[in-house]
Amino acid sequence: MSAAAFPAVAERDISGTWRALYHEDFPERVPGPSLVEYYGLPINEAARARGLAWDASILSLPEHQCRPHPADYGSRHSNVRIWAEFHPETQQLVAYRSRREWQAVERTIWMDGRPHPPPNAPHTWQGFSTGEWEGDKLKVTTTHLKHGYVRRNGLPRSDRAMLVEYFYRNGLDHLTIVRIVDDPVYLTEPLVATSDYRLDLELRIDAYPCDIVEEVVGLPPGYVPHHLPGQNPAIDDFATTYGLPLEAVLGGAVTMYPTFLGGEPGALPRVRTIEPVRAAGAVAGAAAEAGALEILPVQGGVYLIAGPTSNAVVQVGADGVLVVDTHGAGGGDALVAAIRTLTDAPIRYVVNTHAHPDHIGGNLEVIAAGQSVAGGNVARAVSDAGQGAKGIAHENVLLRLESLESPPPYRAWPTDFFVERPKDLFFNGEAVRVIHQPAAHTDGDSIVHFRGSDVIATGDVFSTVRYPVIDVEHGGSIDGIIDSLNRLLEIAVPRDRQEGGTMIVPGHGRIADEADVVEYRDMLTIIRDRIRHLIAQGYTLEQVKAERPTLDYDPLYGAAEGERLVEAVYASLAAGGADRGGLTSRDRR
Amino acid sequence: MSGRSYRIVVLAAAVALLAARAAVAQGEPNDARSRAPLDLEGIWVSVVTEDWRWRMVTPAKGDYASVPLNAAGQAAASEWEPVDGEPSCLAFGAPALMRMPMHVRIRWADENTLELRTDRGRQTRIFRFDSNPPPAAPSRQGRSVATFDGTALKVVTDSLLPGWLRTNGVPYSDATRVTEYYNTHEAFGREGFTVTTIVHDPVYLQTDFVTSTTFWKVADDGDWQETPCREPASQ
Repeated sequence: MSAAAFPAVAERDISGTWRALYHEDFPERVPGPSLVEYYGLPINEAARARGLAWDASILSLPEHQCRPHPADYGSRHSNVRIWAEFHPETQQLVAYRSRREWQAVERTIWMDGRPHPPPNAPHTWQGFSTGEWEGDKLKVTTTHLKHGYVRRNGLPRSDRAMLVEYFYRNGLDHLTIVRIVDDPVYLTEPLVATSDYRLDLELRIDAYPCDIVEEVVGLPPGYVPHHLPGQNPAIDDFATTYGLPLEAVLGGAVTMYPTFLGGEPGALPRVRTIEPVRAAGAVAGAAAEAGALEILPVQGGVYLIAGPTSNAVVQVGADGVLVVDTHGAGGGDALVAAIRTLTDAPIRYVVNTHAHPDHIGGNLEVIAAGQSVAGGNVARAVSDAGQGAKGIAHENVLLRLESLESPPPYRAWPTDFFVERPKDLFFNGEAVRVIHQPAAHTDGDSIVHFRGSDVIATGDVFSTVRYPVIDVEHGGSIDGIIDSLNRLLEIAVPRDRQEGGTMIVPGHGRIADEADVVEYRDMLTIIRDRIRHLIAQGYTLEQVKAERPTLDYDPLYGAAEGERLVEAVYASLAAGGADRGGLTSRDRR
Repeated sequence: MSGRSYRIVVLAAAVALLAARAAVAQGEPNDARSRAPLDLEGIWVSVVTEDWRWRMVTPAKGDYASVPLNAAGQAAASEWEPVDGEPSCLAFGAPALMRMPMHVRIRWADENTLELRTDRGRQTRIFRFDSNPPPAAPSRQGRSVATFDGTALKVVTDSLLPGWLRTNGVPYSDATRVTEYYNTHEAFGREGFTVTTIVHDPVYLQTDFVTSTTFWKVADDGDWQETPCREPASQ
């Protein structure tokens, strides 16, 4: 058969109010899936481990309560209204917009050919979607998804996944949406699933408010419910209830194909599958790693300038420029040049979040390019008192620089230090607070909160692209990092559906918000609790490593980095005592 | 119809016939195979990411979750009794066949006929591009009339013997009519098709039963494994 690539047939408008048909997987899609019901999903070992660690009571935490289904799961649920938006003059189709009832999910599919955002742009629940016609059918590609799930019983889908959907309007009154998601982190091959709808002219899509409440009181700060490895009490409940073999309900690509029928338990699939082309476009930090500077507005007067080694954050306004971190050695001039594309105003302040060279390496050039405001006796006594921006950091940053065998030139030091109280500024019309985070990534970490712009620069207590580096030798600790992440969550206020609002810029990676910090906090708390549990049982470091306590997150950040994290957490807990901190789900029973 | 309207219809039909003959005369083939807006030929494997518990294994008696059965359908489903061995061929009729975990081989039997064969259950479906098909005796796969609907293949099937929507005896009647839309897609290096199946049964269903089932294309028939279904004692 020789079919034209995309036959010349009329595009089929998908607008309408569509009633979801739950004629497949009703028990999963409406009441919800059972625990450890993973069959039919091409999950890898790491995804399965995360699923088994998942405790449903995590949904009662305030920061989890109002999360909507992400784009790749939402089409399985809820009625939907879809409408077209046309350019007022040209009448060209600009976008399809949709609203689902549950959690009031609104989504946009851009049809005007605009490009996807750069890698360090924020990720959202619905991601960034563009559509194109293939004949009469609509193909939609979505990137920039937040961490989500492939089944809402704890099976994860990472923020590096890409989604392709096809919208088929079959006849006049049926709509089939095929979604194909590829996640290089947690899936061994693309996952395909479908949803069917019937046009219903009388259907209403009602409002869906969601108020966060304290569902459980008395929880310790930072409590993250989870099951320790091997301690999930429900592991075989579902299999037993339905008389299914455990190897089937534990899922994996092998269970998706007919060759699984009657095969040996645990047998490898005999289906010769095609190696998927992995989604790579949405990997945060890709552009920065290539060496180019990426300038992105965050919000208010704050910008991210992502460099090859780390992020710098710049606040711009009538008073001048405030810079948080200056990239690595040799990066200062390029950073100044990037700032000059935003404004000609003088650089007044350079704030260092900690003393590591990938964050202060450009201090010399950036400070030298700036001007501080000097007056009174100082200006009269010191001829160059206003030359150079003012450098700000916690006292321990200076102590660290002093201790180096080959410290940077003194002119590169952030000499305006603070000790106990936060350093407060009022600059460019907003309060700016530099707040020390004790014993976190190092002993001298600070976060910088732009209160008017509602942006926090975190330095290296948070990242979207790697495990934290805990500099135990220089005062860092796992508990300090987790405390710092919980402090970020206390400050941040999401705008709606636990998304947006306060924007958070990590030391490495993309622009984030509270939900991204929650993922990171949950991960580190779970890993910390696992290692602490093993230490309490008398495990040596090598024995702890052998238990692979970072197994389920290593595809995100790397197994070697996971091993280094285990070493640091072990050393940190051994130094500070393994009995501090939160509880596991078992502890609370 | 008035005499004037009748003349208009006859005239339009004549014009259409002449246009078709002219196209053939000019060497433009007008058969279904040449006009096909999608390519379904090849071997495909079903991807069971949905309804696993009702497709990959025989569900328990009375488990007809997701199927909009009416009271008569529920009563009929409750009469089923499990039997060891191969599943009954009653579950391999056209309304349910594409939900089976299986491989399918699709080919043009001739320029106006698509043939779909399955390894599991050893069934064969025939899709004829014939707008005026002759009557057919009821059968398991029924009589299927195919058309192209935009870029989709639309197949309407009737003349069916009664059978099961699932292997645990969820029934459909001989009054059932099935409408299917086959759509192709490509993503992440995978070529696939999804068939949306709309089962209309005024006897056992409250409303149309709509499912959609996806198949990936496979390179060869290395995993093709023909297994029979169990013929019912009588039908």
